[in-house]
Parts: sequence; C-alpha cells; structure tokens
Amino acid sequence: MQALTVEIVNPEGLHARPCHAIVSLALQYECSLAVQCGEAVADGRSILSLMTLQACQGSELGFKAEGEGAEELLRRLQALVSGGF
Amino acid sequence: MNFWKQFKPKCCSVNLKAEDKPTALIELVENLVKAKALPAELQDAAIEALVEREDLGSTGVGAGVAIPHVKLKGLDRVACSVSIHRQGLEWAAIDGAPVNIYFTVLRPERGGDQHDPERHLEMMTWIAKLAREPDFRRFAGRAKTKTELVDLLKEMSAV
Repeated sequence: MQALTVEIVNPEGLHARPCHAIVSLALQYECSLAVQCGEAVADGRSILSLMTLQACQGSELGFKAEGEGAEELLRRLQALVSGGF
Repeated sequence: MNFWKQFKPKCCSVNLKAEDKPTALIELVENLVKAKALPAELQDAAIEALVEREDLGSTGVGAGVAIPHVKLKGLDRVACSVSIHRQGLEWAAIDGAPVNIYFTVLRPERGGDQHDPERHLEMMTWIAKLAREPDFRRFAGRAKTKTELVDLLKEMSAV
C-alpha cells in the first residue's frame, strides 16, 4: 500500500475536469485507488465517486494506491494535483 | 438539498432526438432557449462553450451519465436541465459506455444576486450523488414526462 497527501491548489477545487484527470490517470494502472477528503472516501477510478468528495481549494486529498505501479501512480498524482490539474 | 428546484420541466427532455454529440449539445441548448432559461442571444456562445469543454475532456462521467457544464459570459443566473436520450449516444465517456442521461449546467462567469459560485461545487456533488444511484438512472430512463423526470430529482434528493 502506497499513500500520499496533497493539497488542492486550484481555485475551483475538485470539480469535474480534475476528477476526469485523476480517473484517466488511475485507469492506466492495475491499481486500486482510494481518495480521502476529511471523513469521506471515494473510489479514485470513478468520476462520479470523486465528485461526491466536494473538495474545495485548500482541502487535503489523501491517496492510497495498491497494486502494480502504485508508487508511480502516486508520483504522477502528486504532480497533477499540486500543479492545479 | 433543494437544487432540484433549479431544474424546470420545460427546460428538460425525456426524448432527445439528436444523433450524435454535436447535435445533442445544440438540442440541449435550444431547449433552454425555448424555455426562456437562456437568453436567445447567448445560444451560439453556449453551444460553442460546450463544444470547447468537450474538447478539453468528455463530460461523460460513466454509468451512462454526462454533465455538460460551462461558465457563460453574459448569463446572470444558472440555466440547467436534465434530459434523456432513449437509445444513448456515443460520448467518449470515461467508461466508454453510451450516454443516455444528461445534466446540463450553464452558469454565470461571476457571482451576483442570482448566482452564488460557492454553491456550484455543492450542486455538482448533488448531481454526482444522484447519478451514482442505480435507482435514479433506471427510473430516469423510463420517465414518460418532463414533470415526472423533475419529480424524480426531488424524490431522490431526499434519499
């Protein structure tokens, strides 16, 4: 299990397009991906699930990946989120 | 949550006629204009913005649902609809499945008397929660009238 926490920097928060970007990346790997914001946990491979997190700018996203390429996936997610998607 | 109140039956459709994504975007916008939820002078700009948004990445979020949404200059309040395409259309959705349920959301560029930008993310979350419900998708796909469709939004908001 690999884990990572990243702060959302883009002003609009985790809206639909960033969710699409996360899922598109996650689907390139044979990994499970859980995304936590506060108490809520979403499936990082589902846009609809991620959108329910209602994560705004300044929120911290906790990613937990498990499976082949998990470490690389988290590295790319860190770049994606901290770069404002 | 009372976001369902922003979805007026006259803006919605239970039987989109479009044959592909471009014509569907036009039909969704035309329905908002016909219902006077979107000023006619913004029709072309709305279509163009929605096409550009799709070019950035499909709004097909999976499970047969798409959420075409953009900010639109000149708009002073949110214009939105929920629409059904009986057969479903190819939408380059994240799961590759055809889309038959469309939540269209056009919103002003900036906040004002009629629009609170901070509630936008909340509204999108509400849409996502509804869209994740298999019961919602099943009943929406079977809705016979626009009023029935909006009533379903209301009923499922309480779940």
